Amino acid sequence: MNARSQTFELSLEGRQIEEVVASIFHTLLFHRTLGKFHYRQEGSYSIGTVGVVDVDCDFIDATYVAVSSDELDRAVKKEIKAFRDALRNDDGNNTGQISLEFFQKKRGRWPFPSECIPWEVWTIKVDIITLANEHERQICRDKVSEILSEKILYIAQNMSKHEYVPKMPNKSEMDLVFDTSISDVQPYLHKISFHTTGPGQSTVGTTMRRFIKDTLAL
Amino acid sequence: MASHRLSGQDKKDLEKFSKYLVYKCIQIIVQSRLGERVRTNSRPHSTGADWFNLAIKDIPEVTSETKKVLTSQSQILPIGQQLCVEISLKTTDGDILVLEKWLICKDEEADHSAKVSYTVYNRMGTLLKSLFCITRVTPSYRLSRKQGPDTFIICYRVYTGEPQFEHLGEGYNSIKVGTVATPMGTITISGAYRTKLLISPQTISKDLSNELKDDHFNTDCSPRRYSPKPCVGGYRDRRPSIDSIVSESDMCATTFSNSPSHTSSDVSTPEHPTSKPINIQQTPSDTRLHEKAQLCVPEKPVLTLSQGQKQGAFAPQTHTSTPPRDSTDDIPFMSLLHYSQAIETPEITTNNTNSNRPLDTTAKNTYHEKTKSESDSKSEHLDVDAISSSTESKGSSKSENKSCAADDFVMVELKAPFAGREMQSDLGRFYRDCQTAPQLEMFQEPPNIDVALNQISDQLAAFESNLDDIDSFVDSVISLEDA
Repeated sequence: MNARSQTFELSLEGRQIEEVVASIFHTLLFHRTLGKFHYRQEGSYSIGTVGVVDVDCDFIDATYVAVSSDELDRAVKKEIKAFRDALRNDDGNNTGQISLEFFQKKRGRWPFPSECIPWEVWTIKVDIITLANEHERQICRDKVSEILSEKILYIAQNMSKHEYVPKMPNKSEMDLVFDTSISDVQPYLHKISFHTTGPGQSTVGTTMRRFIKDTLAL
Repeated sequence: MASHRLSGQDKKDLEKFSKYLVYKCIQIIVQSRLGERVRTNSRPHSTGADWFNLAIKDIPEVTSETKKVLTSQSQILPIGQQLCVEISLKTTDGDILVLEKWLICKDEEADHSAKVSYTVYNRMGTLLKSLFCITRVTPSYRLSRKQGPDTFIICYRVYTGEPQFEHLGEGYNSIKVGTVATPMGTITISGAYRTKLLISPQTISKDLSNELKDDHFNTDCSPRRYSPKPCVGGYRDRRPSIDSIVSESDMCATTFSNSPSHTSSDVSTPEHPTSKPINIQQTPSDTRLHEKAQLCVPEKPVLTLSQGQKQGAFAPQTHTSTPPRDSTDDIPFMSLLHYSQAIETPEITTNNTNSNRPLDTTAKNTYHEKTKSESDSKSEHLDVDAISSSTESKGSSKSENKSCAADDFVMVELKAPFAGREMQSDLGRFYRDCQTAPQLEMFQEPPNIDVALNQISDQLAAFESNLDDIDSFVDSVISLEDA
């Protein structure tokens, strides 16, 4: 099965990274989160309630809707912060991408671990721009806000197209489809991964340095 | 078409799901324009009161408005009929600008394979989530966050019939929120929003004529019924009674089955008591009101646009009929109470013409309400002209102002740097903060006398212990001078 894949490309200021990525990921997770399941008996279950929270952004003119769950929010923000730090702190890194991947697990035979099969991948490619003055920043802010609105609209419109989502599992298979570690809500299994690249990395010297550094780190 | 394949229970469930979908849609749309952030908590265990597994606090007033429109129909969403939620902006001068129209409609295209009990229910939940997200990205959302009694307020109304997009001005944008395919037709939610924020005198005069035509047919009921609705006030005042509302509303399905052998009837039917209308308001007078409204339904089988004329959020605050002593929070709800008590019958069906703006009707409505609530009389046959003239003489005189306006009214959005949510108070607070600078910390706590005395005695002891050094220093200075 091929996973659905969607990539957004955005040019942002460094300070906008966190909010832009969070607004897109939270919109996705809002659609991909259900109430907590409680199985009464095999095949019959009750579903909890998903709370809704409006989140205002500081560096863009946007408000996004997120699932009201501190645990989920913390998990998402942690990854996004790591991505932001990687982009902003590393010298020469001005582009990067972060992905939110929804997957389901397939139990492996004994010696092998279970296999993760992605069914939907959303990627945001970020290009960090540096602006000279406040006027440019305001223009950028307006532009990013507008583009972000389009992206959120796109996501929301596509989410109700009823494309493939994993089937409701039986109790024993819950962990193969849903992230059951969160106490108040139940998102589909997902993971956030990112990597950053910069113009300087293409040289052999930098690559070798990084290679050696990584080796030593091991 | 498809209905013959549905069991009776499925059909009943579907009808109920559709009903709550419509109610929740309208709640989401109106609540998104309250000007404040929405926050509801997730609950691992549902009480059965949260439809579509989404925590949406119902505003009773909005539910009641929806109900008024829907109770006149045999079906919740008859195929081909459009239910419209109109969001408009009303300035302190009384000018009204229609900002958005959200449409809910159903067409004949059915999905026979969709299981009512979970698939359709789940899809409806997803559609509502999409609606949540999309209502935050249209331009009206940002406008609604800036509303206030001193600048402009956001109003809403619910009606059935033609959406009349021409009220959105030239170059309006359309958006499709999503669809839910059910065995009895596909429900679609879409919207359209204005792109040019301009109030022109031409538009207003055109609407004025429509209003007059409306009133001609509706001398008794229409103006009263559709007086402006205070969104924010209603929302705040509603909070204490949430639980009781929930307890009175129908319980939703929270239990489902993923086993194909289960049918909808054995999944959650015990949790669906009946499909009786929700009892939204708590007061006996309101109950009476709803009963009356329902009783009147058969006489008016079709609701029209003019019937759907809704009162806008905050509108009473700007009306001259509202007592100025009221706080911004209290005004709307007070007027709502008056309004609720005043309603006795739904209005008569009128022509389905272009009049869907709550322009002067709102003023008349408020006047009408006030008249009724204050005197508690049964004067239901007030003459429209009299109402109009009274309203104008009271100083609101919107229509006159509008038609005389030489220039277009241009909305200027104020974007104060670092401004918080309370748009109206930021500047004032900043000014006050500057005027009354905070006290220095060192003056905030008077020194403790014991500590001070101890410090002095410590200093004296230190000087005494260094007496020799000080003496020698003085001697050296003297000797230097002598030299």
